[in-house]
Amino acid sequence: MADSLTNSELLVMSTVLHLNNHTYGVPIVHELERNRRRMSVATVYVVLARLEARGLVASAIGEATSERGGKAKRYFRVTAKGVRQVRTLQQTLVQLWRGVPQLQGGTS
Amino acid sequence: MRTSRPPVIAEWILHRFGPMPETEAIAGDLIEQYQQGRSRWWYWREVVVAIFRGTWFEVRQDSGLLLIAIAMSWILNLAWHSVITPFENSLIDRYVFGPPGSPDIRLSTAFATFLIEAPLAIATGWTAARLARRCRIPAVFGMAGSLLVVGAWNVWKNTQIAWAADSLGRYFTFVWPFLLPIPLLTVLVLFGGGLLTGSPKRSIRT
Repeated sequence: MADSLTNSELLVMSTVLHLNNHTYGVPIVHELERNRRRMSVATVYVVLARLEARGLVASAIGEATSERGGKAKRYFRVTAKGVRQVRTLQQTLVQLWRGVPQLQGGTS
Repeated sequence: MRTSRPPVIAEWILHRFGPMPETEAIAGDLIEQYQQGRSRWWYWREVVVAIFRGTWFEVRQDSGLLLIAIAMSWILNLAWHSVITPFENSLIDRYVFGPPGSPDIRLSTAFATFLIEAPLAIATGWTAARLARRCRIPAVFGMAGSLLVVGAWNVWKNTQIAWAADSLGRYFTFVWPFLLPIPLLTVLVLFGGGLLTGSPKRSIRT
């Protein structure tokens, strides 16, 4: 289904939103790792390219710095359409999880 | 913060085969993290993942175009062989097999085969790259890989008698001059496809 989001797409979009909706590859990878989700840099970019092709994410070339070997950053933000998709999925998941005893209070 | 450069060969491989135009951003992100203390092993792993993920993305995006490009390159290859093989054989018979009682001619045969087939290998790589501009790298790799497999299969098929009659070591002693042109021609396919020269153009954007 073209409008559905995969796990990795949802994770990356949520991370971009979490990082003030204006970020590039390194903070995304670090934030995912901080939340115990390992994803390679290239995987993040492939996921973002897929999302951009669907109009859910937009990107722009940023500044080049010496600590990056003079290579420019590519900044990403989730579009309004992307935010709507995440919100719809969030509402569905919250509805489904509500009242499920296995998902209440704890990790077991 | 570290000040040393990341592995040079890995950097070269990423720039040559990485998913352009994302390569610049990915390379910058990798350098930034390497300077922050990531290991060389981590850098190498990220480069390998970048190439495989980028290539797989392109294959999925343009699989039809990719198949057409490889099929057309094979048609060119087979057409060339149907025209040139009789000429090639007579040339080798006349000049390589030459005077009776000559020394081992296997290496000369391999060299002659390489010289005659080199332009075809370059043309094949070029054709695959031109027909599949949006997924050039997978097309050229696909063509080179299939040529490698078919070439090795041909040598195996034509030397089975020697294989059956002898030990593994002796078989390879006999067969290596015939195998030698295959990887060399594969490199020429990559060269013809522009993967070893100039600036590679590929995109995982649509």
